[in-house]
Amino acid sequence: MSHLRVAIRFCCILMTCSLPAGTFAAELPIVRFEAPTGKAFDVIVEGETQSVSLAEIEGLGVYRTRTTTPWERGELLFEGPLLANVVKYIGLGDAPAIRIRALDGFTTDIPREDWLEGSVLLATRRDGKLLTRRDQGPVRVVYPQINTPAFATPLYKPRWIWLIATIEAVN
Amino acid sequence: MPVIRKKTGLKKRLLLGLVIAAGGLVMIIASLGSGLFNVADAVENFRFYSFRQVNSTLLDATRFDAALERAIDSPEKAASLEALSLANDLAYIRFVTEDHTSLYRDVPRYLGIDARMQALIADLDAVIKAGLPLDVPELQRIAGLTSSLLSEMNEIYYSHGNLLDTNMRHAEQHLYRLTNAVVIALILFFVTGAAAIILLIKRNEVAMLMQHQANHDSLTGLKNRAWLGRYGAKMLNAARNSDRQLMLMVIDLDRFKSINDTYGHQVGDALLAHVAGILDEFEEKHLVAPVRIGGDELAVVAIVENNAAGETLRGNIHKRLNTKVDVEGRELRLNTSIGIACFPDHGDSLDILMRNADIALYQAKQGGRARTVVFDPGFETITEGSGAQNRLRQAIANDEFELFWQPLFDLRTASLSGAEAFLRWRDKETGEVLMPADFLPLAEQSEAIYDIDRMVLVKACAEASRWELELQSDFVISINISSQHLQSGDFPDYLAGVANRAGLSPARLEIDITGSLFVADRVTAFETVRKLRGLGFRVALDDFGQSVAGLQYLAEIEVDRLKIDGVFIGGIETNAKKRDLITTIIAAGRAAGVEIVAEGLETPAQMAFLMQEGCDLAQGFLFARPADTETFRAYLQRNMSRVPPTKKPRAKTKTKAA
Repeated sequence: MSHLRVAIRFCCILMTCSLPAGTFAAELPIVRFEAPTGKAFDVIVEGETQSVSLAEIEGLGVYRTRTTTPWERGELLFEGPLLANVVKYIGLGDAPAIRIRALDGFTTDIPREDWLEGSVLLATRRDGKLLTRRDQGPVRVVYPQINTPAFATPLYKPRWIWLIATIEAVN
Repeated sequence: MPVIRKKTGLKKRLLLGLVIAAGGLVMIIASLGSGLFNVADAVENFRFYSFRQVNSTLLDATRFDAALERAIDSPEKAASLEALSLANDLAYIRFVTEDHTSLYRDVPRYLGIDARMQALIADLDAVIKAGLPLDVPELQRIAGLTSSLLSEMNEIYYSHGNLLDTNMRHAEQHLYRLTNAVVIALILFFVTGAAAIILLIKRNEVAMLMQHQANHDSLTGLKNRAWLGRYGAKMLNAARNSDRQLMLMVIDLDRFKSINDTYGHQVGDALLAHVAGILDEFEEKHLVAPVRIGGDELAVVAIVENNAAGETLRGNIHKRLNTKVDVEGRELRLNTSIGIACFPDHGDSLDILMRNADIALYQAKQGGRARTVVFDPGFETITEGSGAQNRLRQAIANDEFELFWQPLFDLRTASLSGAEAFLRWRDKETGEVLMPADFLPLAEQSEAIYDIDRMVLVKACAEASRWELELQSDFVISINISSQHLQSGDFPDYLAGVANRAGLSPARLEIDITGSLFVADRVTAFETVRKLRGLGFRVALDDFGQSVAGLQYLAEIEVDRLKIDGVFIGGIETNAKKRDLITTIIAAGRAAGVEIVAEGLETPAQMAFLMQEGCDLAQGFLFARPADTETFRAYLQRNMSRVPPTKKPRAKTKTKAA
């Protein structure tokens, strides 16, 4: 029996490795937390600002990934909803890219391919704890580099935005 | 074997070329590579990321400083606290959370900044935790430290920017040099390639030239013996395979040596080149090939369909090679002898054909000039057994000939007025002395006669020049030359050359000609006589009355003397008819304005009669028999008493020889 299990797992790993991007959603484990309180960020649609709460986006399903980052030391454990789900939820699913502004004024654009081709997270937690402002929260973008090695290039380094204040569509 | 050597040479050269090319390639790659490494180093030195990172820290530190100033200005306001808290959080993220490992590596001076900033952040955290109202002195302390830290960071930022600028400029220069190196390398490649191609072409040209030179004669441009060795056999095979004949004609210029001696090698060479030019006209690729075997020996190798075609070809060649030619402004009589051997009739290898053609040529020369002889198996025995000719040639080579002299007297003044040179062959083998009649007919059958004539002339002139200063001005030396030689056309020039070399005045020399000279080629004979006299030589009509030479020639040519043959003189005491004839001849000579010489005078009565008839000069046993040179010198000394005494060594040799 145990042999069979090992064989099946091995096959799964092989399959996972050869899986085409796009079927990423199942790759990351889903975790459950108590619904948090507080605001996540603002969405700007046609000049109007709408507030989105942490509870709303965590309600889209929280995934966990352990990854290195281009900015910090070591491997970190992040949890949060998939960026793809959030973008869909806030109604920017068809936008070619989204523009994210941070609290300190830093701004970056993330193209649609990024959230379609990999399980990019909009992390709300680290080690299960909600991100504070000092922890670059309340939400930050996390590219799971270990899970998707293609993300581990300098191109993605400026897209690791934290202290997210607003999100809007780029046309 | 030379071909093989050439091939290995080529291999060696190719190998050398490859080694040089490989070396050049390695050098070019090394140069390009080092340039690239320089650029890579420069790019590494750009440190753009670190520059941007320094910029970010500067930004957060400035914000930190601004929040501090604002809090100091209004320490009671909640907004001040909130701003302080945000600035401190941002600073925390920048200076504590962020990994600055690469920043420390790229900008070593930045290393201390983080720790100092982290201390300030901790201090500010304590102030924030204490809440309102804010601790102003502590804030002022932190602001003071922040301010000095900021100026230090600014300084680092600008010096690092300058470093980047410098590195960028260097990188630009490296890149510029690299581009130049690439361009130069490409030019070098092109030049090397072009040079290699040029060298290859040149090499081929030289190789072809060398092959041409190896197979061709430089003087005439004809193919040479080496060519014959290489390609003669091929032609023979071609003839064999196609059932045709291979005709080998060996061609020899008659009297070529004499032409060389007379006019110099320049004319000889020009004549050869002229003949080569004629033969060249017969050249047909793969069918007819003229070759210069060596010296004046030429050959034509020809593949012919049948006997008739061969005959036509050799007839044409013979016709073209026996004619008058104009060489270097001189008109020369060109005579050639040709010996022919054919495959398959006369041999089936080139060597045998060559040997048989040579035998045929020898036969042609034996038979006189300007003949073409085809080889016949019967020749071989003849030539092998023909000892007399060989003996004659040997005698010429051994210098077994010498001159005898007979004095000539002027009957009018009763004085010695000349001498006639006679040739004797003192055979070294038998010791016997042979008269001209014994060997001249044999010599006249071959080219030997020319050698003999030449020898007579040289010896006579040399001897006469010994006497010249001591003799009376009208002392004349008579020399007999073969009709063949006289007819050659170039004899007068040749004679002039010999006399000139001996330092002898032409007026001293008298050439005896006979009527037979005019039988073969009157025009040439007349021309020769005219030329001889034009050059200042004297000409005597010899053997008058003995041969067909008659009075008619007296009317047609200008000569100086008429020599009545001894046959007429002998017996005139008793034969009235002879006396009448002599009277008539003398009268005829008078009419023609020539001096009369009586030969073979033997008795005083004969002399008396001739003197009475008005004969001018006479020679014969009555005065003296022909004597060898030594004796005649003594004779001259006695009679002229001014001839220098003989030098001892020479006398000894002569005595021994006698």
